[in-house]
Amino acid sequence: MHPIELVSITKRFKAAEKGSDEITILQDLNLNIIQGRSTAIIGKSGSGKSTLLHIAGGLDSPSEGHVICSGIDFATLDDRKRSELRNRHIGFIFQANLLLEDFTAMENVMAPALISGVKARDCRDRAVELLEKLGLADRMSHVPGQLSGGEKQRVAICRALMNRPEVILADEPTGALDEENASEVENLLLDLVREERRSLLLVTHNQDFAFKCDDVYLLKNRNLSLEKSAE
Amino acid sequence: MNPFVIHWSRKRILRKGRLTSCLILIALVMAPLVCALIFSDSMMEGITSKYIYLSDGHLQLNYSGSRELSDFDSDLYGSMLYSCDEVTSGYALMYSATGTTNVMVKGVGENYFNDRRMEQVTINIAEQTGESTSNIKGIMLSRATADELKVEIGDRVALMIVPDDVDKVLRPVLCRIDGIFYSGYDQLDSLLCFVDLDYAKTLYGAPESTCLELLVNSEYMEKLDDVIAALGSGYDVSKWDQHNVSVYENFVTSRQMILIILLLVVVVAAFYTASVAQQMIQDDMQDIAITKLIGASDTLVRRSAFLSVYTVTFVGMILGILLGLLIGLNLGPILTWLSSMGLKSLSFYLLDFDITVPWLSILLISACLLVISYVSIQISLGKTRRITPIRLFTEL
Repeated sequence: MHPIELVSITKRFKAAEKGSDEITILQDLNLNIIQGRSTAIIGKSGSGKSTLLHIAGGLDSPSEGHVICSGIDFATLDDRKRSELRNRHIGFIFQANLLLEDFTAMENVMAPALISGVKARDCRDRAVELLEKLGLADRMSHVPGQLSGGEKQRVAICRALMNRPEVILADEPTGALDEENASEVENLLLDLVREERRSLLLVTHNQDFAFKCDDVYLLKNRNLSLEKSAE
Repeated sequence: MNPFVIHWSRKRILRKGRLTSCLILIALVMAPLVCALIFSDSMMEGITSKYIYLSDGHLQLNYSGSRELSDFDSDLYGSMLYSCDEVTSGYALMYSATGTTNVMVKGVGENYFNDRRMEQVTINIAEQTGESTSNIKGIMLSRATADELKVEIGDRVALMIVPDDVDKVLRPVLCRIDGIFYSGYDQLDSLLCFVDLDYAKTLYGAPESTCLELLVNSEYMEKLDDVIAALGSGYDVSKWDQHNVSVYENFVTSRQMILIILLLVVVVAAFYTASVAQQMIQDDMQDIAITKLIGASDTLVRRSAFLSVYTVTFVGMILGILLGLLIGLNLGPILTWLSSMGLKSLSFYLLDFDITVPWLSILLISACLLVISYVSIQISLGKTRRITPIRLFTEL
């Protein structure tokens, strides 16, 4: 059983102009995210990389096909169960770090655990461990407004790993960072994912970053082609 | 409850701004409402007591023709009755050298002003300077009447008695002011004056003018019908509110109207909390989408938002009640101060009265606030369903 299986995914959008045909972004696409491996998807802007990632994470629904997460089809779940599945099995990292502005770094990291019902005192150690690993030991009580872009992104990485999800979905996680910070965050993310034996689905147009992953796919003409495989 | 719900709610409440202003507004709405309830209930209780103790008693046994009032033995009803006094009353025109007024002349015995009645009234009596040889009878009138007629203790006033028999001629009698009383309620005071019972009987001879005024013991004050039943048949018994129908009905109507108006104010305040909740959702749209992204269900998001607004509403309500009680329990000094500042309209009210806290009414408006807030906040939070994580990338 794979952490995420994309089966015959097709995604169409309604055209902006009335009466125009629908636009197909993804066509009959299949992809398995393999346990403990990092997978990157590269492609031009507008090729549908982010849409694919949203579908894989259950944030968006495919027009056709199925997304199977830990053996469960997203389409069969109601809001509560879908949220629960996302909370326990998937961690998200986006270009915009999407942290809760009123929460401190520590609280942001603890948030997924609190949502899953774990009490603060029971998840504090895990959050401290992650923040220390990513060099944020002295930033735990800072709110996002007091953190640099790189620090925010590292908090987002900690948050994504907090619940020990099977898979991390990352959409241009270093896109908003300068070169030095970007490289640091890339390495931290990949190291942490390997160390924690998580799967990673990375969507980026940064080929250097992508080729650090085990498998690389190119999204072109609404479908994927394998560019690199660790096997 | 989910730890995140509590944590997020606390964060929202501690964030200064809209929720703080909601808390202050609810407190500021509740405080005057509670104060108004205390004022109106205490005032009505106070005025009722004045009527009962000075004008009509809890019950009156009136002459009915079947049994003589003199046959009534109040000792038979020991545990029920506090006092039983024979009184004779009638109307008269009172005039002094400078003014005229209508009064009810009430003839009472020397034990009439017992401890309970003395709690309701302050009396100034003329000092006795030896045995009076004059035939002029003494009278005690109110400070309000004395002020109106511009007379004081020792002065004389004339009473023009309205006779029971239409064939009799109107005759004035002269009285000496031996005492001045003040109950604190000018509206009643200005109607009353007291004379000796025997003298009143000479002025108003008809048996219908005489009755027995009964005061019941405190545990029977709310059970007057039980007392009436115990008195048995043969007497014409009436309650104080039957003698003062318009006063009593005014009280009942006023109390109902006040409660209705206060409930309407509370309804508006409750809907305000819903609008605060709606605005909070609007402001927190991104945070809601982020929490949904990391696995919060819509129910969890709604619970958290609800807990924030409802906690603030509840705390605001409690603070408002406490503030209202604080002001309400100090109404006496506040009213006295306002009166000393020359607020004329206060002469229609009591300035000195026992404070009664209408817990039931306070409970009713609090429950109304909580129930309507609960429903309206829940309805306004329905909007969270439309906030999905995907909106983070498409709209927000």
